[in-house]
Amino acid sequence: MSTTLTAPGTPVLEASRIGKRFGFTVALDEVSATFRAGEIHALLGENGAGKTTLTRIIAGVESADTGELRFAGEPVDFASPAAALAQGIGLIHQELSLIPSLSVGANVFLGREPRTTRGSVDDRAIHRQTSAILRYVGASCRSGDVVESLPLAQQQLVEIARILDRRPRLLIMDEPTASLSRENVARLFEIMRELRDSGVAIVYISHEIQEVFAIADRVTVLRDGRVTMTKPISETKADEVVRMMVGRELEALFPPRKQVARSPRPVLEVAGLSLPGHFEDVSFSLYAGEVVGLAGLVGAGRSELVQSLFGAPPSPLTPRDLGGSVSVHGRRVTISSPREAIAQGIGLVPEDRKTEGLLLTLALAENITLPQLAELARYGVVDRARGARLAAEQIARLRIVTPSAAVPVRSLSGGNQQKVVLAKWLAKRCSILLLDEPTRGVDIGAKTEIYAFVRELAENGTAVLFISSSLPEILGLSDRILVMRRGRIEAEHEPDTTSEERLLSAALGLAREERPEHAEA
Amino acid sequence: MPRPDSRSAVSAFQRWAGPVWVWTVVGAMVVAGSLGVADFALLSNFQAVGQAAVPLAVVAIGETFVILTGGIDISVAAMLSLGNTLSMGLMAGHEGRVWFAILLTVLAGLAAGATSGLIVAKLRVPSFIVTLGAANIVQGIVFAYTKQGTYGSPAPSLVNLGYANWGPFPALVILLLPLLAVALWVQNRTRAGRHVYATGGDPAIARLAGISVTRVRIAAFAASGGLAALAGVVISMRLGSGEPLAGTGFDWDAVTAVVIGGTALRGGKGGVGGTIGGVLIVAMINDFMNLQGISTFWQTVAKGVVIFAAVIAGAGTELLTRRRRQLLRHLPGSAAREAPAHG
Repeated sequence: MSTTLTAPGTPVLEASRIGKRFGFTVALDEVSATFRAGEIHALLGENGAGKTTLTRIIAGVESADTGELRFAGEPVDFASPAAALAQGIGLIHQELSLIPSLSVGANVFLGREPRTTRGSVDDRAIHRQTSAILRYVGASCRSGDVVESLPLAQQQLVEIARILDRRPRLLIMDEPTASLSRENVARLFEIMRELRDSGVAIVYISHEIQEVFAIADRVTVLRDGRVTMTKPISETKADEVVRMMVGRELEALFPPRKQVARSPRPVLEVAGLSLPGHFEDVSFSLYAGEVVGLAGLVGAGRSELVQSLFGAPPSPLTPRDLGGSVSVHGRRVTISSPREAIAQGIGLVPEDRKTEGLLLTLALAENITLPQLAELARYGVVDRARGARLAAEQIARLRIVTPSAAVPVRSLSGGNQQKVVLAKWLAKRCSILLLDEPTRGVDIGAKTEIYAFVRELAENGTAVLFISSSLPEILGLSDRILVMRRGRIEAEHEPDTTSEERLLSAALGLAREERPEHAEA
Repeated sequence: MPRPDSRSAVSAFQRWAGPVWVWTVVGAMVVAGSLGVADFALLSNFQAVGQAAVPLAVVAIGETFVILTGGIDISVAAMLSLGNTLSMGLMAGHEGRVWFAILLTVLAGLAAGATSGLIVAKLRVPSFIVTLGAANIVQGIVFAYTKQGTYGSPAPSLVNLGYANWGPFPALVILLLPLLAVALWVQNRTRAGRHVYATGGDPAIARLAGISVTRVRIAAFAASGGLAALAGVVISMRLGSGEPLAGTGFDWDAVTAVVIGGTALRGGKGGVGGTIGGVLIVAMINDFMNLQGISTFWQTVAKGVVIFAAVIAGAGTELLTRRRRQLLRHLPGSAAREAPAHG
């Protein structure tokens, strides 16, 4: 085991001027940070600020484009998380890294199984040591339990146990408490303090600001891939931290809002909608001609909500698991498949366009006309000329940059691909359009164009509900803003009377007084 | 909170012998056969079933490891033909060449399997296509050097083994036991075995844990190739010669046995124990039909029906447990929702 007691305050890991790009997006821009022995160092930032990318680079999951990492004074460049872990850097993910079909013990010792003198895996030693570490982290599961049969909280504890068993000198915890119960969190904090006092450096990422102030010694805030603040926790306050997390300039990207007379009756009415494990008692209405922004943190249940409205809740759940009611144009409907959603005039632009929104190998025109082959076909034969006209119309309207309508969608840039997904639903003329992160991974030029189309659609009478993790986008594009937190609609804001700070506070649960009395829109 | 002993006993049984329901089906078939099929419940018939099942068991053990890693090997039929004709050619009836021929044959199978594994693991080509190609190449080579005729012959001592019984037990079954023991040991007691499950369970996570997924895959395909070639030697004890088409049908029979033995086609779950149950089910179906004088056409149909039943039962229970878990995970206590439709 690699425990060496390091004097408190000694730098364990120094990151200097780390840079990382993903396509158009600059994830990290010259980020420097020092993580010291005997210190719990909180890393804060909005979704996409670069916290997770930084920790993944430190733990060897990804490599930096530029900059240098020094671990215990030595420059390092880990080829894999296993290599980093062997050196004493442990990363506890948001995403579990357990093999579901193996037992708890097999997972804790995966890749480093102890052996008996006969060459067999020493299952007794595994059982003994796993039982001890499970007891230490306060897990109630047993070494022999199969991981996939355990509740999420127990799996999370197994994940924590797996890393702690390696006795890392630098422990990175990326939202470890998200699925834990209060007692589990309390025990975890005890462990973190014990480890800190024994000289471990801890990096702690959390969206729970109160938790951070309860446990951390130092806080570093990232925004848009840069460090905006690093201070001892005693010298700062929650509102300063929130201010440092937001505070971007609002670019003049957004089309002006036009006041459209609201029809008296909503196009879409959602009442008490619930999906076990994802969202609960969600009620809101959408009116023709308005753009409603859905703000919230990753994991708040926003994507699952729009997927459910489109008749496709996350597997293995099905529309039958939904509670509550949905009405379209005042009529109660049961949307049990995307096919029925489309028939009701609902369209969805999903978060991951590559796997859910596009058939990458098919031609541009074929993708655009996919949702309305029925209208384009006579006796089952597609009228290709009409399809081509329709595709050409949409390509011109959305200014999709392409050599022809016949090229496979895969060959287009991200922004143009996203326009194709939009074109699909524009061509279909749906009355309710659900957009999930419509501008993710899209360059600034395409973003402005997409904003303009969304606005245009609304002016033509479509009701738009869009999810975005970018608060400027939410503020700039929405007529109304709903904030979701932990599966519930936490607040409703008007863009003119709110701010990024207030939205973020609501998403973080710092602004309880703004919870609406009831959900009448 | 101590767990009831019965549950851990069941999981230990499953680890070594496979799903309980597979052996329930085997038991039910024995009972049904004894009651309903004339001449089934005779020692000589049981011996015949055992002898006939061994070559398939050898192939299916190797196939199990490949499927556990999340792949599939459909070249085992060709590999068996290769093993059969190559070993018989090398042996050519000489008693002194038995071990030499077997060793060289198994090495050839290992090498051919490892080649497929290398392509699958390094180039990330679906194993179905890679082994389809390998099957054609190997079978073609077998045709070329045998001129599509009977080729070579086993040493006299081997010929007897194919139908011999030691005491009440078929000799081949006794000879299978050490192989089965080694396979179960590798599967349950070695690092390699655990890494096979990890690779099939989630290759990305396995890689992140420092496991060489490439090596695991190559090893699994090599084992499958080597065992299929060995099965070619075994079958010569029953055929009495090398036949270029000795392996015909073994590819799908092996996959059938593995799947109805409870190993998940997407990998990570199952094992050799269940496969043996699957082999016995396939062997007994054939035996029932032979005893009843039903044509091989209907035997094929029966096998298809059994595959459907096994796959539907497996997929159905899997989906149900996943749903139940997902729902229970977030609903503490007994607040199980009666799922009213939302419309």
